[in-house]
Amino acid sequence: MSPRWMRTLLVSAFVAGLYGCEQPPAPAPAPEPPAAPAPGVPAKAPALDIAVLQAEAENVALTPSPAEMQAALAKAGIVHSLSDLVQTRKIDLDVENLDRVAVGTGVLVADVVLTVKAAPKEDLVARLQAIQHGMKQLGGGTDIDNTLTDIVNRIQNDAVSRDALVRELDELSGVMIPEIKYEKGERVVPLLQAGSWLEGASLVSTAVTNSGKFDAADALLKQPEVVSYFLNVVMVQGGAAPDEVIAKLVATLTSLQEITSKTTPLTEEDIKSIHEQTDAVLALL
Amino acid sequence: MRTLTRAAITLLALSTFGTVTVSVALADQDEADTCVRSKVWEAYPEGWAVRTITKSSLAETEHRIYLLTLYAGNEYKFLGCGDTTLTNVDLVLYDADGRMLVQDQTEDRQPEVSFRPTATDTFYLAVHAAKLAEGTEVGRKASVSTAVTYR
Repeated sequence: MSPRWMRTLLVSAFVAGLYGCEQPPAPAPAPEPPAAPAPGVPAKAPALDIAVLQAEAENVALTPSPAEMQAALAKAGIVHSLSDLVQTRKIDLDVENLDRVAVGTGVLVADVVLTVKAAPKEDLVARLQAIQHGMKQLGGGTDIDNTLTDIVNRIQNDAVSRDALVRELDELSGVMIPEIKYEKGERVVPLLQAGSWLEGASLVSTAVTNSGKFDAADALLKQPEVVSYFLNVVMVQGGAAPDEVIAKLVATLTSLQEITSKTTPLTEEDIKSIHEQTDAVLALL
Repeated sequence: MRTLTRAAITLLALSTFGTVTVSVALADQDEADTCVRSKVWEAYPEGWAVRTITKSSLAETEHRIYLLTLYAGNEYKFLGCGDTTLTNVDLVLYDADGRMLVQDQTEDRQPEVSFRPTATDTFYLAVHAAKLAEGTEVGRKASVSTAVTYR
């Protein structure tokens, strides 16, 4: 085969891969009877039936970011900052099970986003370099690697303000990382999100406990759809080698699903349980 | 870097296929993406932050639906940007039971919808490619980028 034809094949495969990466669009809405708009909402776009909404909804934007959790905490009147509760963790990312690498990297992403404004330079750099290592393990590609190198260099050279970094790390965690097509498969993104969410839930449960404002817990921690999403990924889409951390994660998510699905308000005991269980997973990483 | 990479892909594809189809599609996605990112970053000084930005490719009247968890107390703004082949993109927010809560009221390709939940819950955000520009070939896919922002 000539080099020209080989190039043609390679480029064709690459471009086809780019298009193949995008999920297929939903078909045009079926002629369902339109849902009744809430009072005062004039109809404009065709109304979609609940069955269509449920059947076609994608989970890509389902999970709140750790910074969003912090915003909700403040709105709930809890003055504790999650960044003050973030621990310096040594997460082992040199493990065989890549699900575990993704979850661990997600935890680090949450930590760096939450602490970006006030963390000492060396802590920030260490977390970003650990994320960079995790991304390499997951086959995140050169764009994310170069971006992280650039951010680290600018932090080390005092060439970027913390305010600018807030925006850059939001973009990194909320836009760039989720849109990467990882060599290690589609389950990487939800597992990264699961790690970030677990860390956020652990910190929020600590903040709620410290503040004693247990009546705010429902608004901050009752997210059964999020837990189900992660549980489905970990259990149904499995395929990685058995791992004690992932086994613990499954047990924890199963328990969290039960707690967050309660129709009654979360109790102090529930918050304690959420804290202990999320912490137990995080401690194993 | 990403723009450079896409430009390189476009050039490679052009040199290989002798067609502009691929380059147009990538340019359209870039256009929609650049538009929505610009709106997101411009809002940061006002206290807004981004949860995520999604991309889709839709023919006229097609839609995408996203499930969202929204926090009580936080203020949310959903931003859409369609490429120039679109003349109208619509955003519609539904509650967990399928009741329409709010939708954009403009007839353009850059819709915005704001919402402040009274209770933390899941919601559905529908993005509609409502109308393509006159003369656009039938069945052509247009690019739409959608951002979920909060403060």
